[in-house]
Amino acid sequence: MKKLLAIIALISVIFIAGCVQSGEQKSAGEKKINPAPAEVQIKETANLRKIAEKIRNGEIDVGDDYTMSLYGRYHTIHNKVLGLDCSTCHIGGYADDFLYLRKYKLPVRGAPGVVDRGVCLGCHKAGGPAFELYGTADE
Amino acid sequence: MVKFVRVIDTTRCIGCRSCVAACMNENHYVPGNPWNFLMEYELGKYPEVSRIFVPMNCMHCEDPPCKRACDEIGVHAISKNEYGVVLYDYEKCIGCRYCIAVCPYGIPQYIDKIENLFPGESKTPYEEIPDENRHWTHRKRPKTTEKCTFCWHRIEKAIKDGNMHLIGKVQEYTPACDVVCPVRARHFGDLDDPESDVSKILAEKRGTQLKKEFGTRPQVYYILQGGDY
Repeated sequence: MKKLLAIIALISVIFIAGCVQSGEQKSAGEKKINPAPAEVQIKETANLRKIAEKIRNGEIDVGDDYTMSLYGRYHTIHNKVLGLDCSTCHIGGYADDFLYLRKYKLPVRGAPGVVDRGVCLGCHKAGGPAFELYGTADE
Repeated sequence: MVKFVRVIDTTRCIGCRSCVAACMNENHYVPGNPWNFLMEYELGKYPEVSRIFVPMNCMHCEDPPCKRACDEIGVHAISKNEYGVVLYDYEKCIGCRYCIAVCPYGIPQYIDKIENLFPGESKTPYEEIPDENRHWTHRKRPKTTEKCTFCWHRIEKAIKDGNMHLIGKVQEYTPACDVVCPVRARHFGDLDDPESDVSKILAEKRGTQLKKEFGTRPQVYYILQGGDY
């Protein structure tokens, strides 16, 4: 009788453990497919749009120095307001086959590196949160 | 409709830089700021190596991000005319360099100061040509931005002379860089004319535009070894 009870208890433990494990796997699988829920992404984009709108209508003061100076409007928006680190845009150098006419020119003397415009696409593409600089790539 | 485009066949280009020199001579080159530049790099691994030459100049995008940036800040120094040519007005330019910041091809050049072609020497007679004797696209100013104009002064002349059909065919009506190519790697003309060289070449060989992911729709097509991408 004791043996029977022990076998039943063992089977129950294995069954419960299996259920827990499969549940964990399922939730891990879900995380992989969708790391950030869509509604969060939409909210974040909406926040960026709001910031962009506030800059345009002057609620956020970014100055009127239209230069590429570190204290000019351009760097104030990207660095001070949006909090982008220098290394987000500035990279050490271009690859040999990078087709860019000003390839051998640093943006300004002492700049932390050249800039790959691919990073601008994130916000400035058609339908992005910032003003539309770039169009839509043809199929 | 007229749509001027340039076709550059990199499979023919030998990297001689005649186009670069012609552009400098034609467009009153300011030292350090070429409008036309030859990119070159190597492919493969020894002993199977090759060199690629890619001449670059303004793409005269159908959707130019430089113009969008300039308009956004209310300067309006950049225009795209009915012939598809993107032009910079030095009188309106405030030197903010936003156009440089947004161009995916690195085309616009900022003139910090205009230095003599030969440092330490007096100006050449060519540099001494006064503004009033220059086309407006050649009246360059320090603290402004400049770039290739598709040799607009030549196209404009063809339009005034009523010889638009000769653009891309006759030297005086064709951009300087395109007429000097010794291996016929460069062609210029109207893409909307099925009989033009550019239309025929693009129909025969598969041309592509650079960095299509930016959606700028450049009016300069390249014929690359690997074809379109």
